[in-house]
Amino acid sequence: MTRQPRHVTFNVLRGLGIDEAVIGDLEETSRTRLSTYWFWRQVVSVVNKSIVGELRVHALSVIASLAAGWFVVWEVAPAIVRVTIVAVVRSYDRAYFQNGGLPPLHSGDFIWILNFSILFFTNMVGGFAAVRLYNGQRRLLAIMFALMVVCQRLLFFVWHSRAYDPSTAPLYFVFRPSGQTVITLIALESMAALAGGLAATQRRQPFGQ
Amino acid sequence: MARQYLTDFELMILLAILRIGEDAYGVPIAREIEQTGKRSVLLGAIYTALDRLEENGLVTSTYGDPTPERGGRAKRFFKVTGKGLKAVKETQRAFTALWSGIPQLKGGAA
Repeated sequence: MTRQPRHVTFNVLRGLGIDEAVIGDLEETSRTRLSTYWFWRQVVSVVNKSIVGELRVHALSVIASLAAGWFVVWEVAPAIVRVTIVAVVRSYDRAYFQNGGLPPLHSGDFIWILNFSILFFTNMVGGFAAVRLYNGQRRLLAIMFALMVVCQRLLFFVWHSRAYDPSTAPLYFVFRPSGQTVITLIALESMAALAGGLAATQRRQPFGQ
Repeated sequence: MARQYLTDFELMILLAILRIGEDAYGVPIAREIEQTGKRSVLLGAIYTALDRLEENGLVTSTYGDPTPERGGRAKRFFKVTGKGLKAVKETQRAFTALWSGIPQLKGGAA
């Protein structure tokens, strides 16, 4: 593994508000240990330690902010999206009739793009709201929220993929849509949540400065 | 108040700090446990335990000067307090008492 990604990682860890002494220890040790697996195990353990520490110190604040983020994802953002969808569908209908009763060009892709945009938007706004309300290490909370999105989505897909057939097996899973789509969706949603959260960590500049 | 004994990992960390002496910070502590304890350790796990020990007053920490081989970052040195030393001794006493009188453990390694 080259030095550059490690150097970038140290800067990211510093950005997460992790103790400089811990990052220093990691940097000192990684000069002699070149295994990529060892390095990333250490990085994950250091981030995990910081998240657990943050939860121990500001448990209530973390839970309240994450709950607020989820409220936005499930209630506020969909309400905003609904208004947009109505406008988009009306314009789609107009195009449909203007096209002589035929679906407009690329209308198949259109539904996918719309769905992905909605998911992207709601998670981004949720991440932003959660982090904005939090007063501790905001970047750590952004990571926590993104991880929650991943866990929630995985559970959602597993739960909705369960099937029951007494003649074959008591319980089995049929994954629809395909695994690739599921992974894309989870990656997209968690990245959106993380992007929204990280955007909320930026300091607001007062007017006139 | 009930006496609290140390976990095996906390005990290893305290013993490593005592063995290293003045220069006990994250890297030598991890190295000492790896070499003596024959187990790989994660820095995150070490610092989680050290923070807990510091909260309980068993160790104290001070920041040193930044050094270039660490990218200009300071070291955090740890020292075992009197309370920490007492906890180590009590844990040793408890383990020794548990050890004694077990026939399977007599006469060297099993």
